[in-house]
Amino acid sequence: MIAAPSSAVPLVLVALYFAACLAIGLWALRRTRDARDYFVAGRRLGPWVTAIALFSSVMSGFAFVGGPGLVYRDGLSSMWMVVSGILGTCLSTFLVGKRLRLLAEVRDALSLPDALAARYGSEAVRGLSALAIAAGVLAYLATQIAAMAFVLQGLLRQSGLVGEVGLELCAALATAVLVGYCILGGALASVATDLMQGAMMMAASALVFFAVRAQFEGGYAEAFRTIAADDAEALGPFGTQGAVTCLSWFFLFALGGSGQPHIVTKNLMFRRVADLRRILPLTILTGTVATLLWLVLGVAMRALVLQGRVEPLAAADRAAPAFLELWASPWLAGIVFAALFAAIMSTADAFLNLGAAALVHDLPRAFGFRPVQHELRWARLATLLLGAAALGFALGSRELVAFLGSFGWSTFAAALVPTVALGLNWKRANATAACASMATGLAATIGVELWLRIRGAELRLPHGFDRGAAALLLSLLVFLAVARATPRTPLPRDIDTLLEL
Amino acid sequence: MSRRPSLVFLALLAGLLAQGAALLWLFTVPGAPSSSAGPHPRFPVLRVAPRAFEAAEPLRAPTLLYGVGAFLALFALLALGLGGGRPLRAGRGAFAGATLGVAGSALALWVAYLGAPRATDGWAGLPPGSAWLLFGLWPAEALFAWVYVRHFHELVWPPSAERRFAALLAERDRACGERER
Repeated sequence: MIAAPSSAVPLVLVALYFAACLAIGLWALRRTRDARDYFVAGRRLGPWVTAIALFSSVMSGFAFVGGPGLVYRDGLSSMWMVVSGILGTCLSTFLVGKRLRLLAEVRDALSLPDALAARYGSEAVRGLSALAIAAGVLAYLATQIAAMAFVLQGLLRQSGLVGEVGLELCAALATAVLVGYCILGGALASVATDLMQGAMMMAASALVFFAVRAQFEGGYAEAFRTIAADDAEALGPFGTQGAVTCLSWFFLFALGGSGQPHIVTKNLMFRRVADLRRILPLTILTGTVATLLWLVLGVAMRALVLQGRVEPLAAADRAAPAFLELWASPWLAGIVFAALFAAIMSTADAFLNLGAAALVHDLPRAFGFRPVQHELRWARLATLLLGAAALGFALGSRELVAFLGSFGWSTFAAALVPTVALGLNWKRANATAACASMATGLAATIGVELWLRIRGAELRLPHGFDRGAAALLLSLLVFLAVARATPRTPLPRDIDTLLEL
Repeated sequence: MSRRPSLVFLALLAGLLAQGAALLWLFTVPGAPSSSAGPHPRFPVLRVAPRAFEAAEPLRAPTLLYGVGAFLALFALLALGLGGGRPLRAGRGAFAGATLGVAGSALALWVAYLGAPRATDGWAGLPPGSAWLLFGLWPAEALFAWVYVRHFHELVWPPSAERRFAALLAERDRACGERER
């Protein structure tokens, strides 16, 4: 058995990464002059920046820590979430990319609720979508801040430079860096740091791929055979969770991307529609390289435990950190830990930006108030308040964070996919259908979760069918049924033309 | 998709309804285990599947129906996005080829798995079904990206669309100018 050596190198690399984020924030500060710069980076991003910002927003801490943990625990089951990635990116681009970019230009939309309000001609649609996004922002931020605090505390402990540092201080430090560069540079700082963060994730993934291979004399084939000898079905295409669970994940993750606000909002930011031709393949290529880490770390740790070379892990989520602490050189561990922070922050900064837009730009309009004067100033204040609130939630109530954490991919998918993906491609879609499906999606995810927690009950669908996939299916059917059953709504001329392009 | 429901719309509806039907069927499958994974006998954090869980006869048909429904809905949505609700003309062959590539990989995976659910070694240390998942289905999905890139100027952003959009912007700017005056 191997013991984790103490080294300050990973901590130093992470500190350098934090400093680089703040420097990018200062760079973006000089280029952020108004709300359009702050919310959609002035709509002037190039294809490379947009592509990497897209994939790095998708890759949260869950992909770097949760993903390997799922492979360690369940075998190949969770690979269906990863394998759906290419199809999901295609679906999101086919269904949403061009239309949202055109809508942004025609109606000067600065946020997703802005674009939806223009498409449906309804402030109720704006309000419901903004509320869903605002609640989701707190959820994502609180969980990401908690994750950063745990990782930072572990790094400080391992460095041997300081004694035990409290979780509160670690959370405050990480939040200060995150909120700092977001306040300074808004969306521009967010996507510029995404570029650096994406590059780090790809480099880390490629390095880990070779580092894992070096641990087994027979390469990956030996690791696979070790797992198969212990439990053949863990290495089967559906892992230990079975085909029903895996197929429901495939449906949820392939289609769900078209409703994730932090992903689809990137379509408001690039320069020209023709850029989409380069953005799609670049996103797929860079994203696929980065997701290799999900598979290889989980497989490596399961095989190493089964071979008796590592103590069994106390929790599956320890798979990635344990591999880095025990088997990687301090430099590689430093790069991957910095990439882990990059994964967390690239998602969190997108949500901070979305939350500020929802609070300052969308909700006042949805409730009939006049547009806010000095929007940029208020957006910066809203970013600060959101960061502080999320920090408070992360530290104040583990139970609340656990509840909010469930407000993830599946809730956005169920609440927003029909309204966004079908609404931008189907003239018959109307505000009644959009509101009905958003309400159904929110009730079937948040509502059910809340009800279960109040009752102290558990709900498992037969054979592990994913609840999020069921909620998405339900909201899609409600959307189609209501749109067909209600009278056709005449569209404004520009929207009508736009839906034909 | 204006007056009469199009083929794409019907395919989407059929895919969604097939999934719903499969889900209801799974609720009532008799004799099948209610959950899949259980704790590993030596390492409780690891999960292992019950013996030949997926080979359980009663589960195969509803699971297959669900899988077909999910893929059908996804393909229909891809066609909807690419054709903007109108039937695909240019690039129809390429889109059909990509669909066949992805559907074929998924089918090969299913057949390889059902043929030998507990196979241990096929290619690069992986069982055949898993090899199809990682080296077949996963890269095959990129065919849709190839269709998008290859036929971008016919399907997604043809010169006629670009002209119509420029006219729309000009009309908007004119209207704004008049309002300001």
